[in-house]
Amino acid sequence: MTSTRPEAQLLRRRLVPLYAAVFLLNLALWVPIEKLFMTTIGFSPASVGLMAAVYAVIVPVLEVPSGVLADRWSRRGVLILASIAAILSVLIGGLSQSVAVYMVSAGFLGVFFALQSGTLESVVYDTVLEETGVSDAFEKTMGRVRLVESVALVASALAGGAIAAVASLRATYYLTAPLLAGSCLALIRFREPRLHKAEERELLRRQLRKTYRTILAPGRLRAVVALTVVGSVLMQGMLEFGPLWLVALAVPAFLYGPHWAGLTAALGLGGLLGAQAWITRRWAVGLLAVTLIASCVVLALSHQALLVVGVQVSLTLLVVAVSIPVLRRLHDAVPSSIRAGVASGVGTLTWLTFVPFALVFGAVSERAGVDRAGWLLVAIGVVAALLIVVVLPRAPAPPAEAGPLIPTPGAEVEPVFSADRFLPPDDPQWPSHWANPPVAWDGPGFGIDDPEALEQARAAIAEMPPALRQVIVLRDVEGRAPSETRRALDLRPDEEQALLHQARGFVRARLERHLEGKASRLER
Amino acid sequence: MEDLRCIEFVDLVTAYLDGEVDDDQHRRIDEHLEGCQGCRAALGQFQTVIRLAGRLTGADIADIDPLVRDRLMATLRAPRRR
Repeated sequence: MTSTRPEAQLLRRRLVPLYAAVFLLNLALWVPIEKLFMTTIGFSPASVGLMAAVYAVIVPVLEVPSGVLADRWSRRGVLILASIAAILSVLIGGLSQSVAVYMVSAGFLGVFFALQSGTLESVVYDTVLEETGVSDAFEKTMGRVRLVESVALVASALAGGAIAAVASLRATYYLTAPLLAGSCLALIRFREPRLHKAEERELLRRQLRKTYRTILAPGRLRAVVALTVVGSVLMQGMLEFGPLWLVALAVPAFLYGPHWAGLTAALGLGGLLGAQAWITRRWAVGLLAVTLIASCVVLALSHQALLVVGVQVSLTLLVVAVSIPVLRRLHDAVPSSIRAGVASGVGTLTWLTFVPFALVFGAVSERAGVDRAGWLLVAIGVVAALLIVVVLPRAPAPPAEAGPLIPTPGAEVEPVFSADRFLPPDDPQWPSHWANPPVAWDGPGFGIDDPEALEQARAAIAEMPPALRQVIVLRDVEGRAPSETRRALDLRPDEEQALLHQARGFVRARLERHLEGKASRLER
Repeated sequence: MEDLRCIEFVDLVTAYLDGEVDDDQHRRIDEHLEGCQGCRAALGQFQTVIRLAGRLTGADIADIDPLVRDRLMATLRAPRRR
């Protein structure tokens, strides 16, 4: 239904420059030939390790500060800075004649990753929220972003090899620079959401504290954060270590191409799969969890090249698919003012988890073989499967209490009267009429005008989602006019009506439960 | 015109009470209410909720968590500044 509404069209149109920027940003022509180029300028295995270390320091150190910068200054601005860092990286990389200079290039690539990660998904989430008022379209939009990324990666892998063959290895670096400049231009044309500016500015220190507290605090967010981290570790593991299985199985070289193409395509297809609404239904969640564990076990046991490739691709696809609804749950729970900071902080946690995992995985596969190390994946797969079962079937929480004044996503709110109180729509005599009607609150045993009822109403208002509460407080407690309430909360008439209806229904349901409990106690 | 079904009415209670339904719809609802005790009770319960909420004071809701209270106070002040 949403796709036909004008706001969905507006959203799509507004996102076009962002999609273009993401496409150009991921057209990294140099990626397929990087290892080859590095050996020609004198890299040894030890210096490759050193470069990884440079990376491992820069990215996590910059992640959260860049996210906070995006929250306080501008999301788009940080993404433009990321493109500029990438331009510097490819220019320095292409010019470099020595290991030391190439390290500088890798450093700028680290800056690019740190600036971009967390910021992109935040800009997507806030644009969806600003344009449609709810976050329902986030999965679909984020799925499209993943698809665009994956098409760009596949295209650049093919084009990069061809350019290196007809021109030179360095040419792939130089030719990437104008693409990145194009990404800057596309970003300049993108209209940035302003939600993170809607709230009053806080002291930097308080904002940092709030950001870290949100990431690390116990509560419902913890499982979501844990699943994000574990899922990313599995995906990174596939991308970094997947080819090791091919080496161990002495797979012919021509299979490496399709293997890599399969993994990068899985990034995009996983995005599409994750955007489907049924993916959080119970049967789908069970299937995902079982398939995930089974895939890891097959990797640890199998010696069949084709099976291994297939399972790696399907595992990557699964993990990306799961990550999309998980991201929505993460962002739903975080206010816009600290959104990019929190997303980047989760990125840091992923990094801090992946580095030791990679070290252990590398050590085990060197000593005992990659299939032994595969059991590490099984362990992580089991943890991920458990978290999937815990996190996914739960409806996304209403946007965070410190969040901007936005309505709760309508689909997640329970109906004012639950569906099982009505006869089925195909009932021959009374279709969709009452099966279990409410009773008038004036019979014997139901005293509504007493302090107890007042207390129940107060408690209901205190515990309802803030988006509902602010409307009922203005309208029914304060007795303000609908037009005034709409102005004060910046709501459309239909939104204000829907929220007020939900809020009154919430109070009604609590009173009903209370009175029924009282009646049954009287009977006994 | 087809009869209103109870499951449709319960979605319209607030709009009906606020006078936000058109005349046709209003007539359909009135006709339905005349013959439906369950929906009359649902309407009555909503009216009770509104009455109860109206008896609450600012102090009653002031002890909900401070963050929400601050925002509530800010939004309550906002129209007065205009």
